[in-house]
Amino acid sequence: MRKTLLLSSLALMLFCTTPAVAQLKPGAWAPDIEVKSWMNYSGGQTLAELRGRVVFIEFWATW
Amino acid sequence: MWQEFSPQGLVLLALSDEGKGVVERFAENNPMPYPVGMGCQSGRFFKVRGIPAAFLIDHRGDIIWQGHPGGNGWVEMIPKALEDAAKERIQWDPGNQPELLKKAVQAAVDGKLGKAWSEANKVVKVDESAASDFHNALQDELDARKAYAETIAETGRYYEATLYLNRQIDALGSHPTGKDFKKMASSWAKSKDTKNLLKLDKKRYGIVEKGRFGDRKKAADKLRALAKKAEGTPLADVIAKDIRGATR
Repeated sequence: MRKTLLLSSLALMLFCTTPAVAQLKPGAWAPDIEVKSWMNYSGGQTLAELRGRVVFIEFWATW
Repeated sequence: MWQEFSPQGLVLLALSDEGKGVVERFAENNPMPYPVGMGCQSGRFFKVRGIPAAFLIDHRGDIIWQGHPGGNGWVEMIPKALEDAAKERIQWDPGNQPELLKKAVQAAVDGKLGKAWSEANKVVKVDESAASDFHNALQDELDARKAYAETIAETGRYYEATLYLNRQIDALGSHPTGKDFKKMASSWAKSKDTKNLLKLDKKRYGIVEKGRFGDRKKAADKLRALAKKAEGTPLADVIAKDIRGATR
């Protein structure tokens, strides 16, 4: 029991000290996007389709 | 921002992981005239840690800015980014065409060049000079697209150039230039000089496109292996750049 506790607290420590993965930086290839439905839009559905255009994307939420 | 830059060609997309119902209810009280994508889980591929988070992506699909959308950094970068994109992307300018050619112009603006051509054909008997002006403008555009495909191919990206040509062939329908484009693509696939580059580029393209959705380290490893095969070809530079893109 004590061993499990020790192990799990060790795992927790490791988890907490692992630095958060950094957001992709300038110079990286943009991943593609997948969207279920659009409002006010009928253009290219993915960044692959929008290749050749300059695209600004913002991740946001209503809350 | 959307009002200012979208007429200049910038595509601005607001992406939410929330569903249609939630966003549409929100939009009732908060007008959003710009494009909004809903049910989008792609933030994790960008390794987004908190929202709002924004990215500016150039015409080649590379991130050129990342940060809080409220900051001004990205706004300053837009004019140059649009200028670079304009160099690579052919823009159709229908000019001042008479009312008679309205359908042809609209089809051209929508990218349906084959339809534009056949619509203009219908006008030949009514106003020959207007129709011929339109056909000439269309031909100039097609010449420019052909040259663009060659520009891509010169960097060794024969597969990307082939994809570009295929899109043009689709848009051209029964227009005779479609055949020329098909010939161009099939000569790359047959010629001894380009066949190998086409194959390598197809691999490179596949690795990059797959890597966009997943394991970048693995993609970088695969690209390093591919780089050895591409040594001494123009593709070597392209692959080197892709490796940098996978490791940032």
